[in-house]
Amino acid sequence: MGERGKSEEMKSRKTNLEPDLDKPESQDSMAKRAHKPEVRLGREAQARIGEQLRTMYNSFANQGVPQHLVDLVRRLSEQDD
Amino acid sequence: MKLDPTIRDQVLATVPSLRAFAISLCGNIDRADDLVQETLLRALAHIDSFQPGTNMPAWLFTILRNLFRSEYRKRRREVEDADGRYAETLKSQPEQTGRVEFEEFRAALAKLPADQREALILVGASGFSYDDAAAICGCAVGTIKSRVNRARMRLAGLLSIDNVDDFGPDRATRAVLVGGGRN
Repeated sequence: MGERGKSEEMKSRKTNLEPDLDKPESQDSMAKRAHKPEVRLGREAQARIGEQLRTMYNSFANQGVPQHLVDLVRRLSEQDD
Repeated sequence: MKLDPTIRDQVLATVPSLRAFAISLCGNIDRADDLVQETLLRALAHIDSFQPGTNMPAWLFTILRNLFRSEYRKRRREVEDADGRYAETLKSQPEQTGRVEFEEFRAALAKLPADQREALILVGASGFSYDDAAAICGCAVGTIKSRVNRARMRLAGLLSIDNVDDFGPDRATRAVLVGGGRN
């Protein structure tokens, strides 16, 4: 008897940490869970990554095109069917 | 019928960027050049399906990306850790890729999932809009945004780039605040 009484008391003393399993989830919290916005990287960090990425990419692009690829395009575009 | 010189020139003008994209994806100059060659062959064989006046780079990049994907999938079945191999390729051929100072960045790029890597390159380096990148990758704009965002987050972590809050005080101010205004 005493034990049951205790558990009843503990039940009523809800902490914020425990989910309220008795009540249905509110619309609001369901929406928040479904459309949780992704954490985004700060502008400065984004800029630094972008800079390194573009420097690398442009170094590839500025290497010039191998002649055989230029010749290929020229050859294929001259072909008569 | 001979190809319209304007179209031919548009293709030629796109090749450097196409090649840069291929190198960024393949991590190997020779494989990238093979991929670009295959792309050009396919594109010119189906040039009639290109609508003049529309986005030529996007069209070419789509062909290349699809070829890369099917080739990548084929290779993945053969090799267990394809991405690991990609990273190894970059490391082992510095003379070919040429720029040792990007080594750290390229190694980090190699660690991203392929989806994220291609999205980041298309938007961040090749200069495509999110809409065009989504069309090239055959997915929704939201998906591209999400992939780009995740790629950036992951790279920042790998490269130990500090994620300073946009709206927080700048670094100098923070240093002063943290130091209690002294020194």
